[in-house]
Amino acid sequence: MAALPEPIRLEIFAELARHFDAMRWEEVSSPAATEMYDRFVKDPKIGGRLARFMPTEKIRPWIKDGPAKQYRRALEGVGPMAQMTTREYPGPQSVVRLAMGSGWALRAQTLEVKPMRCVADGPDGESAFITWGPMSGLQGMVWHACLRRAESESQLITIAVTKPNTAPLPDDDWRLALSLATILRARCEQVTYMVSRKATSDSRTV
Amino acid sequence: MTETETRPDTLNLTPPPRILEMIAEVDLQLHQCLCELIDNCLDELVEATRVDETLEPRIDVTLPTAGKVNRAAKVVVSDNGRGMSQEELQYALSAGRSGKQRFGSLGLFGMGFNIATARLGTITVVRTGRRGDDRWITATIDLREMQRLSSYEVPLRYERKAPDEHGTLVSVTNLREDLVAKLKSASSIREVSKNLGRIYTYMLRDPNGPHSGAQMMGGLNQRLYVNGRQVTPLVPCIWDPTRSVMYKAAEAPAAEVIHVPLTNAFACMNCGRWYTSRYDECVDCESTDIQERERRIVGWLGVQRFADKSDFGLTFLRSGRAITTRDRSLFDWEGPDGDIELEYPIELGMGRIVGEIHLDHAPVNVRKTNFDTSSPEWRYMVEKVRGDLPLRPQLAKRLFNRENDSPMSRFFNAFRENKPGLRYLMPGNGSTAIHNEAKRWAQKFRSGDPEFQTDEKWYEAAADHDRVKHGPPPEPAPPSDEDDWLKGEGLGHLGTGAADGHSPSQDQKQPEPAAETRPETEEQRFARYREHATLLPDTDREVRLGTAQAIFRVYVTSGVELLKDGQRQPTVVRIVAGEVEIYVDSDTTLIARYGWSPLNVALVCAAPQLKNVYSISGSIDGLVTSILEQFPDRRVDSSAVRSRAEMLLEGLRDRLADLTSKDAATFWSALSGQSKRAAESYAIAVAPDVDWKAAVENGEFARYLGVEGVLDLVTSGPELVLDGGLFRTTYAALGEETQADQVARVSAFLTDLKRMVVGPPLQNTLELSRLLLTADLLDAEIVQV
Repeated sequence: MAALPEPIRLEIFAELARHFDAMRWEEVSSPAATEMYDRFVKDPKIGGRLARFMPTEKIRPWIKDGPAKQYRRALEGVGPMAQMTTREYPGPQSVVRLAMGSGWALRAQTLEVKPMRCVADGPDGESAFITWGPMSGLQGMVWHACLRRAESESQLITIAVTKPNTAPLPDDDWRLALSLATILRARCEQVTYMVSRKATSDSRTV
Repeated sequence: MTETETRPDTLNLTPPPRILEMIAEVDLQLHQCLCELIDNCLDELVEATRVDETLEPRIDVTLPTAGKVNRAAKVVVSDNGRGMSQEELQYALSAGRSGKQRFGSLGLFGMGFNIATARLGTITVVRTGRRGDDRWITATIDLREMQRLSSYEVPLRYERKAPDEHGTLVSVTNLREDLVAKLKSASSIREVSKNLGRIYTYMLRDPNGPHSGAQMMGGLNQRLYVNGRQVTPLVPCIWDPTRSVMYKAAEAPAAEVIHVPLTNAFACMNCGRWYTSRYDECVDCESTDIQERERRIVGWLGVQRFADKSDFGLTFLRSGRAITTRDRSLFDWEGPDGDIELEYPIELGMGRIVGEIHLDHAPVNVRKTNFDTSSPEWRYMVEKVRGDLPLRPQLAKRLFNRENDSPMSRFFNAFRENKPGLRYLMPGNGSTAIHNEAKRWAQKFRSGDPEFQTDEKWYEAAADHDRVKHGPPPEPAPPSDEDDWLKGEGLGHLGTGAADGHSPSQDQKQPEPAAETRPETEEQRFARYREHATLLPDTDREVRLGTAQAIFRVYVTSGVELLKDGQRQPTVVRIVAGEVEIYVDSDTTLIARYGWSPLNVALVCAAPQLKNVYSISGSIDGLVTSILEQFPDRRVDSSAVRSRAEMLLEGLRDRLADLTSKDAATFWSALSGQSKRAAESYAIAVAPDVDWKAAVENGEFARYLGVEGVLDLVTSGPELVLDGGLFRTTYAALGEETQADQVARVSAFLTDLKRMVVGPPLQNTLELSRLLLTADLLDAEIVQV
């Protein structure tokens, strides 16, 4: 089978981005996502086109491990799908500011994904490692905070638990996040991190 | 101290906060309490999204789960709207205290807010903040504390917030015991979510969604979450507005927009009284805050893609919130004497007329569970949407000498019957309507399955019903007489099929060289069968076969030979990857000569093969029965037969009343004494204050006639009811003997009808099937109104 040509790959990415935007993919539950993968496989504009380039049984994992995971990063402004979405998170700089304070800034070239993390520089020359994500991703954030702590006893570390609305996290969740952060001698903050629509409706490009 | 000094100038009549607690004793359900808070959020978000295109609006409801709920738990409703300043918060809360309600809005922390929060718990916290502010303002309303201190002073608190954050949050704690008990039920949160999806269907649905009628129905695309899960709007499952049926020789669309502009009026913003002209001061409350407001009645009427005994009727909304759903009051006709008669549904008690009417200007009750149906606003809507005459045209004409020309009446008459086929837009399987299957598809529609969002599946099933029942549509006409005439005039090149300059006959004479003949693959063979086949609509589904689940389809073929090992077969079966396809030749003897249904032929012929492939133990009979049991629409039972018969009799009475109104005496005299007495008894039973003497004189008696009476007319006065009167049956032009045959034929149908209507319930399936066939034959004989 021929390799998937780049223009077609991007067109399929764009088609999926349209679906993901409409259903707010980052909020879709696992069972609902499973059902959606089946529909994407059957969709002539997605599975139908991919079938020319890969065996049928590979289509679903291609969507699940590729564009579906790319989408959340795309909302952060990262990756090939970022230009195709009509929605976006406020972005890493916003998290740094919300979690650390207005004088802090993202250090260039330090942004990594899965989970989202970076190094931030403070107004007085200090620096901090910061990782963020929703409560469901706390395990990954704590693990990366552990790795940092293992590297350096003195490194400032902040775990920022994001939430999609201004309501505080449920007490139980917040107590757990705080306790884990305390063990690591890390700060823990909860940050309102809401998706917004991009300013112009025709901003999506392939 | 003088006596005058001890006399106060005023009395302090500030109501004690305890009053709110007492008001909270009213019976508001959990979701109704939440609605009062959600209304405020929606008011704000609708406006906020209008002014800020980047805002992705959301409302989050957080309820304590069954395992964690206790009195100290919190109920939280928050939005990401623009938030309020301190002055705005103060205004909102104090406005709420004075019972003030903003018009065109749902709540504004009005009395509803106070009652709802008090119904949930005794401590309410309102936290709000705007973009750019560095503090949240938090007001705590503690009813018990207010009561203890006898004070209306509400403490304010200020908490640090990020300047980007904005919105308003209402949290209620110190929950009431009954609410805690309610939330201990594992299903309560699911129920709340379902109710909110129903109430806020308009607010939450996408007007550009993929479902049929999306744009016509509209929506505001707001988002609501309960414990992080999106609330799914209960979207009406209607036929596309481009579909239509024929009624009175004109197309009647399957959906219609309602738009009744009303003159602007002046509303007192304090007490809600409306004035038709401008007033400086409210007569009732003396408020000077009177504003001019636009009023209109807007919405739509539509036909649901399935009929149901309870799931139909209208939704009435105020400011986007459904106040009543599945309302059937507009199907009632209130006669001049005040008696109310239900005019719809007429058939099996199953209805499918639905719609939404927005009445933003009409008053609702305190709990917002109903409109004030005695108000002039409501009554005017009824007049415009439904009209004050009966929906049934014959009855309207007889009683009032004119027909009801309201939108509802047009709809009622075009879609009153649930007969399968395209004539009434009702899915069928070639013999009956497939109500259960159509409802199962509607469930898929509601679960968001993209294949069921448009009405295509339902439309195909209605079209397939016609194809299976009446055969495929006729082939394109052969060269017509007109072509021959053209040829005669030397203009043959202008005839059908000759547009490209050479005639089809020339093509036949000079066929293309035959392509190299290759043996047909199995894939090609079945594709060829499918080209000549109609899928039985209710069979395209999962069916249990022993312990396996398989997709099961039955195709009825026409004009193609089904072959196996070179031999023509009545059926062929194809089983591939969990899919079973059975092709049935419609010309096969069992169908063509013995009237078997294609599904029965498919099952009986394919059963041995299915038994073998799926290793099913037991008898063939057991297998066929187990499959048929999975098709409830195919079941023949006595209640279905009786309902069908009652519907036919109702149709006969309607049509007959039209005839008797013109010559009541002649028809009356053709009835036997027994039929006359039976009609009178029936009339008194169903309409105790009927003026029977007048009914006999004006022909209205026909509406109470039994089958026996119709039979009397056929036998004693065939010239009155045959020849296109009540029945199509030809009579006058025939010879005497043939006339007698015709009377005997119709009489036989009517005797069966009588058996269906008044006899004891039948259990014999063969006889039930026969009676249903009679009903079909009789139905075809009745003159359609």
